[in-house]
Amino acid sequence: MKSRTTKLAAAVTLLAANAQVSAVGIPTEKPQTMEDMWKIIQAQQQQIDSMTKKLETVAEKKVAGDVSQIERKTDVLTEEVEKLRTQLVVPEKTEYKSAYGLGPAASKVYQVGKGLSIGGYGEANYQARVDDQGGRDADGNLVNPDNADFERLVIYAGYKFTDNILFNSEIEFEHSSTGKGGEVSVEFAALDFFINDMANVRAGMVLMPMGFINQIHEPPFFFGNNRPEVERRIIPSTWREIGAGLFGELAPGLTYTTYVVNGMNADNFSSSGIRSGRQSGAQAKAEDLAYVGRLDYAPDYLPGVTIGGSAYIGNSGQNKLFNGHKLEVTTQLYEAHLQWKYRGLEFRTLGSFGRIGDAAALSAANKTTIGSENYGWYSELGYDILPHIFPDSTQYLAPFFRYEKMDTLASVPVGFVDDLSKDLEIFQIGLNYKPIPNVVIKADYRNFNQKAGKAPDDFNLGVGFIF
Amino acid sequence: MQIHKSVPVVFLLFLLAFWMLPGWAKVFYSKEEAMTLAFGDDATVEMQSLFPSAEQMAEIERLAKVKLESKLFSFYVGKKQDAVIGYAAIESHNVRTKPETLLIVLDPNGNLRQVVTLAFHEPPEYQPPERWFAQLLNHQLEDLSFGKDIQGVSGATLSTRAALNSARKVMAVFQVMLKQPEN
Repeated sequence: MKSRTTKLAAAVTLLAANAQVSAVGIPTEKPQTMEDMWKIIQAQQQQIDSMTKKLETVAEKKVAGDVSQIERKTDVLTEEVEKLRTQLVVPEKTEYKSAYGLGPAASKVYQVGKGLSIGGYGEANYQARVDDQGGRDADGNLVNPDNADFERLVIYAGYKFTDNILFNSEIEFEHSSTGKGGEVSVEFAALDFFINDMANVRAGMVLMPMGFINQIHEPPFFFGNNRPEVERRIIPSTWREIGAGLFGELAPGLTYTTYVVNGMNADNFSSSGIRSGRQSGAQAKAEDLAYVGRLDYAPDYLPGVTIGGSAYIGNSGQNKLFNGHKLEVTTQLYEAHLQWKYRGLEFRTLGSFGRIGDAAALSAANKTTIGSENYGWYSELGYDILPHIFPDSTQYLAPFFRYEKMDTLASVPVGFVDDLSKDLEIFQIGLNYKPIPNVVIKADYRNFNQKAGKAPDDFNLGVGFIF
Repeated sequence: MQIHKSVPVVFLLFLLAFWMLPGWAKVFYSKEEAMTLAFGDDATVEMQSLFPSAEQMAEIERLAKVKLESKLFSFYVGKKQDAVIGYAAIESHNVRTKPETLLIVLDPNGNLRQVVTLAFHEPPEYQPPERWFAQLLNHQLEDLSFGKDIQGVSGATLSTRAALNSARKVMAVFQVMLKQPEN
C-alpha cells in the first residue's frame, strides 16, 4: 500500500512538472482556430505520454531493484545460516583436513567444543519379593526384603583428541552411596586408535567382548529391570580388565574384537562361579594373562540378524601357592549368540559354557566347591505392539518373555558336594515402555526355580535412561 | 595348560606392525567432498532455501513423524547442463549428546537415493555401518520405520532411529515444498 501511494505522489508531481515543461515548446498566445487548439492538445498529449512512460520505467526499475536486493540479502543470510549449522559438524573444505589428525581440520572441529563428550545412563527400580522372603536373620530382618534401589548412575566422558585418537570412559556409581554398600568404579576407560577399517587399536581398561550385555548394557536396550542372570553368573557382566588389542571389520558385516588382558584371580572363585575372580583394574595381579576374542556377522542378505561368538582363555592362578602348590587354574569361557530384529519383533538367544582347571585343588584351597564346568543359556522374545494400537505413534511398548537356565556347578570335582541351588531356571515376563527412545519404564515378573532350596520370585518396576 | 608369556609380546609386536601401517582412517568428509559424493565432480551445486508456512510445517511433521526444529530448510540442488539431477541435505542430530551428521540425497522425484555419514561425534561403536543405510533406499516415506521395512542394528539403536527420522524429514520437506503435482 505504501509503495502505491508513493508512486501516485510521484506521478502527480511529474504531471505538474510536465504542465510547466510543456509550456516551453507550445505557443503561449491564445489559439486562434480549432486547428491551432488541436495541435496544442496533440503536442501536450505527446509530452504526457512520453513523461508517463519515463515515470513507469523509473518506478519499475526502483521496485525491481528493491526486490532483488532483498532476495540477495535473504540468500546471503540463509547461506550463512546453513554454513554455521554445518560448520559445527563438518568442515567446509577439504584443505582444512589433516592427513594425520593433528592439523588444522582437527583444530577447527574441536575448537567449537566437539572434542569433549559427556553422556550417561541410569536405572532405578522397586523390587517386591514374592512367594518366599527367606525368613529372618538373627537380628530379625527379612533375608529377602522388598527393596528400592538406584542401582546404577553412570557418567560417560570421552575426548576426541583427533579424528583418529579417542578416549572413552564410564564412571559408575552403584547403589547410590558408598556409605550404604554402594561403590564407585571405572567401568571402562580406554584409548582408541583408528588406523584402518580392518585393524584399530584399543588400550586401557576394556570391556570383555563377550555376550550381549557386557558391552551394551544401557537400560533402554535390554528387556526387564535386571540383566539376564546368565550374563551375570556365567558371563560375569560387567566384566572389565586392563588390556590392549585390536578391533575392526574384516569383511562387510564381519566384525571382530580381540584383547590381551590381565588374567582373573582364582583366589576369589567360588561355587557361584568366576564372577568374584574379576579384577576390574584395581591393582590387578598380572602374573597370568588371558586372551579374549569375539567375532560377529551381520549378513547383508538378512537385515536385522546378527550371529556371533566369543572365547576367553587364560590362567587365573596368578603365581600364588594354593595349599603349598602353584596352580595354573586355566579358565575358559565360550559363548555363542544370535539376535534377530524384524518389524518390531526382537529375538535374542545366547549360550555359554565354561571350564575351570585345577578345580579340585582350588576347591580344597578355597574351602568351597568350585565347578570344573559351568554353563548357561537363555532365549527371549519381545514385540513392539504400539504401532498396531496407535499407527502414528513413535513410542514403544513391548511385552516380552525370557527363559534362562544355568548352573555354575555343572560338573564338580570328585570328592566335593554339588550345591543344587546353583542349578537354576528362570521364567520371566514383562513390559518395556519407551515414550522416547532414550527413556524406558519397565515392569517384569521373575519366577525362580532351583533344583534345591527356594529363591523368592520377584516383581520389578523401574525406570532407566540414557543421554 | 601353560600359556607362554612370550605370546603377549608377539601379540603386541603384531599391534605395532599395524600401528606403523600407512594411512589413517577417514572419519570426516568436508562439505565440499559431500557435494561430490552426492552429484559427482562435474555438477554445479546451488543452494535452495525453503521457508515453510505454518500449514506446511504441520504437514511435514505429520508425514515425517518428527518435530521440525527450524522454519528454514536448505537443499543443495545438483545440476548438470541446467537440468536438476538431485537434491541433497546435510542433516545433523544428536545421538546421545553428540551429533551424527548425514548427507541425504534425493533424486529429482524425491526418492531416497543415497545416505552417507559425514561425521559422527559419538563413540564409533554407536555408528551404524554404511551398508545399513542401503536398506533405506527405494522405500516410500511411510515405510521408513522399524515397524515396517527397516530392520534395526544392535549397538546402534539410537543412531539408526535418528537417521531414520532425518531421512523421513528430508523426504517430507521435498514432498510438501518441492514436489510437482502429478498430472
